Amino acid sequence: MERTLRKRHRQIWYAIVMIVPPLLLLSWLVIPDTAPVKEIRIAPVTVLPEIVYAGGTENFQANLRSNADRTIWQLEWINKKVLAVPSAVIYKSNGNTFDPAAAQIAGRIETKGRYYFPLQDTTAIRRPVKLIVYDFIHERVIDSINF
Amino acid sequence: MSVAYTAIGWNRQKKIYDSIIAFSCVTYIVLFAGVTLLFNPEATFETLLIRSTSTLALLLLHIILAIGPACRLNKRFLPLLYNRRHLGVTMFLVASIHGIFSMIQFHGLGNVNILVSVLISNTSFQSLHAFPFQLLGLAALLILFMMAATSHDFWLHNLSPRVWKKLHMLVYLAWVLILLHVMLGVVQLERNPVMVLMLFAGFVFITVLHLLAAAKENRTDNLKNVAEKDGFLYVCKVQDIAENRAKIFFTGKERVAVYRYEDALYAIHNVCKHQGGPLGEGIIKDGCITCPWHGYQYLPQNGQSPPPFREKVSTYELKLIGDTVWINPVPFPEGTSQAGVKITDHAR
Repeated sequence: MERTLRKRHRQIWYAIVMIVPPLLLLSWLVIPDTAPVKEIRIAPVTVLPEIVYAGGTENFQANLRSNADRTIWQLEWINKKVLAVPSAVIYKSNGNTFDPAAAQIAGRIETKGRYYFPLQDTTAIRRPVKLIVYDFIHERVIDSINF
Repeated sequence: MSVAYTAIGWNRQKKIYDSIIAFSCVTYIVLFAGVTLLFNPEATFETLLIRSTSTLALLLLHIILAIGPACRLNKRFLPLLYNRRHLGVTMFLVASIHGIFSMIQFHGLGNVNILVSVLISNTSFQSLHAFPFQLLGLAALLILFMMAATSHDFWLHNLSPRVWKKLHMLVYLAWVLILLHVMLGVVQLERNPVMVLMLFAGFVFITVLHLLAAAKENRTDNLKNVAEKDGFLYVCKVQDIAENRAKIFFTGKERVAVYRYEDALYAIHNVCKHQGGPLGEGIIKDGCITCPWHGYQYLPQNGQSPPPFREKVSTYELKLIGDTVWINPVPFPEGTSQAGVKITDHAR
């Protein structure tokens, strides 16, 4: 290398030797003590044996499941297609009207797939029952189904 | 070298060099994937690819940074230097695979452009632990891209060797950015002490190697030449220079190669016009001083490359007093003819 380039090279190495070790050391010191939580563990779902009510459209299939004495209820929701919105909430409403404030939230759906949501009901669910897919970001009903 | 701006043919040495690089890279990736799957069978293809290419690029960068000082310390490493640029371009390609797949993996599912997402998704500049390390990697990748894109001799000639060399010294900045990219990125998440140790060891290894090479060159440059006669500086005895070889002499400003060839002495500037290789460490082949780095050649009597090439370096005036060699430290303009100083029987 020529004299000027040798000088530049030397300056670069002075800078590296003076600046980099403290930076590396500092980044080593700030490593957190606690291990980051990487896994999301979801308790395995027990699927209730009987489908009491069933219905669906080309976009989804909804099954209301229960046990033999109808004391535990569960909504099985199968998303057949990808949602057009990032995520949506399923409400269960007794009767044909829908008021988000009064309706029971079953759960949130996102991508294609099968979802199981426990319902609060402890006695036999009586018709009419309405399930509403609600886009809570844009505050609008996307879809619904009546049993 | 090519005098016209056409693609240079692949000679046998280049083919061997590149085959070894390609084979080593593929072997590394396969081994990395195998070992990872052994300990973590749930690793996905994307994860394997991102991690194997990241570690491979980092390893290649350290090898590239080690070649220069290793050659200054020991000439046996010179064959590695000959096609160092091929290694550099390979390293850039491997780093690109890491960068592109990482961006797709971590930013591809959003509703904004991937690059925009990389730039705006993390703005914790005030925190070292949560620092936007991906930006450091992106900046390093841009530098490596610029270096790979200008690696051909076409750019070396058009930008001029000095500008080209300055541009390619940015590799040190890229290296530092990558070290911080790793330390503030995966190390913060994984907390793996082996990773930290290897990174620190790599930094120390490269730094020590460069410092050793610098110390060796400084020893040569700092040799005190107290003897001076009529503006001429004492270089050495004639017997100290082997036939067809040179002694490198530091005039106080520049290094000069004093060659002995066919019973005469010649002095030319030590720095090759191609990439700054040390001409004094080469030999005379077919009547031409041949740079040890890439084989650029210069005639000893005028410092010019033989036609059709047009490179030329400065020449210097020499004289013999008894059996001692003396040099005028003021260079002649580049390419000036300077008859060799005949070595008399008395001096021999």
